Amino acid sequence: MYKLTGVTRTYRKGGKTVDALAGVDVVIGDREWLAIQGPTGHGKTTLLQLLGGLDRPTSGTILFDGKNLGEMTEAEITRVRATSIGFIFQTFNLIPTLPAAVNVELALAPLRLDAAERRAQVARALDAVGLTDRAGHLPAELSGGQQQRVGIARALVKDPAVLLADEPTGNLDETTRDEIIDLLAQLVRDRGLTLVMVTHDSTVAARAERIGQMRDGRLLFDGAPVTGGDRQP
Amino acid sequence: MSRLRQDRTLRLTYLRHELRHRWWQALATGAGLAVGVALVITVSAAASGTRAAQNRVLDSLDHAASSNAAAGTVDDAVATASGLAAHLGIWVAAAALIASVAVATLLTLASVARRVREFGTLKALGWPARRITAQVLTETAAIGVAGTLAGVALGYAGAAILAAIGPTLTVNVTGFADAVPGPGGPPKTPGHGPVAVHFSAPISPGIVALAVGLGLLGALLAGALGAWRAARLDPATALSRVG
Ligand SMILES: Nc1ncnc2c1ncn2[C@@H]1O[C@H](COP(=O)(O)OP(=O)(O)O)[C@@H](O)[C@H]1O
Ligand SMILES: [Mg+2]
Repeated sequence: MYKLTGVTRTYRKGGKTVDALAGVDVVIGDREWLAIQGPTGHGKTTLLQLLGGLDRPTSGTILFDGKNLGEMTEAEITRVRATSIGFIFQTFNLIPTLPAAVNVELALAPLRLDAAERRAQVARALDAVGLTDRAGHLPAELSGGQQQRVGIARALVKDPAVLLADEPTGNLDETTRDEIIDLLAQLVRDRGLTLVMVTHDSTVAARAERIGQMRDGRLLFDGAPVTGGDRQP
Repeated sequence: MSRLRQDRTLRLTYLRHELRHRWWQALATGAGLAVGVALVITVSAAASGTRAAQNRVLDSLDHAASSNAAAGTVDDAVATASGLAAHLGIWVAAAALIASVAVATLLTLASVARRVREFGTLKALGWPARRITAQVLTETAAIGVAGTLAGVALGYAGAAILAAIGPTLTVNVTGFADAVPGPGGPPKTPGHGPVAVHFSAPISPGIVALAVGLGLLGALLAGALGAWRAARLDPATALSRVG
């Protein structure tokens, strides 16, 4: 699905530069579930932004399905996001003025669908996350776990190839966390999705097929799942 | 064709919810524009009403003192004052309109700034910049049209109130003639008795059209600036910004 070679991303802030990514090399297979751990400020979010085409590398190449994301035009990369990539955010990022179903429907806006098809897909996505009876609720009327379910429905409704999740359970209690991870695991398996998930939580990371560690802008694999040490308050 | 209609349906759904849940923001922006538009209409109505009243006073003066040498000077002086008042009124109205457009622009920009993460999220969902631009423009256009229409209604109401409470000027031509005696002794023309000049505030369609045009143009300016800001946002802010 992804092939990253020598990927760097340098931020310039004032006079000094920060190497958020200092040379990442990784191949992420189709249908793989990759967890990324690591302390705050070591480049995890930056890596997800690059994988999702929200940002471009300073150097190196990111092949997505064989196409170089860094060389696409803005229109092409927007199209990739619209059709192939689903984002899940730690803070859910639902639009507070819109009911759950409209929040999900917004993900279909850039696609060429007619109304009936669009509504059917929204209904299916809400059903898949168990929120059919909450379709008309505003985000503020939903619990954190329910909001993240809407977030997952919004990411899945377009039937993407990849899910990118940045601390998806970071704002949830343990019981809700386990429910959300169970749901994600089931959906990813059923639909054959590739999942890249950043998490501080070793319990969550342990569910993945592979765990990478971000350290100083590099992605390291040492084979064995890492437990403890990285937990954040 | 059906796809276009689809786009519009979703855009209007978004707009409807946005306005319903952030109505105070929409109200503030719309009310600002309404006040500016209303002032243009009311103040120009008051100015033309004043001018009309003064002309009628001058007419009666001319009539009363047609042979009086002083009349010409007085005539000029009153006409100049009248012109000044009218111009001042227009400038006050223009300043009010500019201020209200500035307020609408600032409120729109503040609203866009508050929704940084929302627009970042839309970009992450694959919304092209032009679709986000269209969304913001639609919202401001709706507010602008509503505010401008409310401003026209307010302007008519203001002019009607001015006409209702406006004074009836009573010009005592005899008194005037006494106060400004001609060089040749007592006035030759006897007084005609008091002349009543009722104040009115007529609204010209041209001014209404101008106020509506300026109001809509102001809303468009506010919307364009807001939309431009929203579309320029870095989509990565969706992931990194909290709050
Ligand atoms: N937009 C930005 N501008 C400047 N520096 C940034 C920006 N985003 C991230 N950084 C810096 O890049 C480094 C990596 O950040 P990030 O990828 O958010 O780390 P993580 O997600 O692992 O906490 C940090 O030092 C951070 O301060
Ligand atoms: Mg992060």
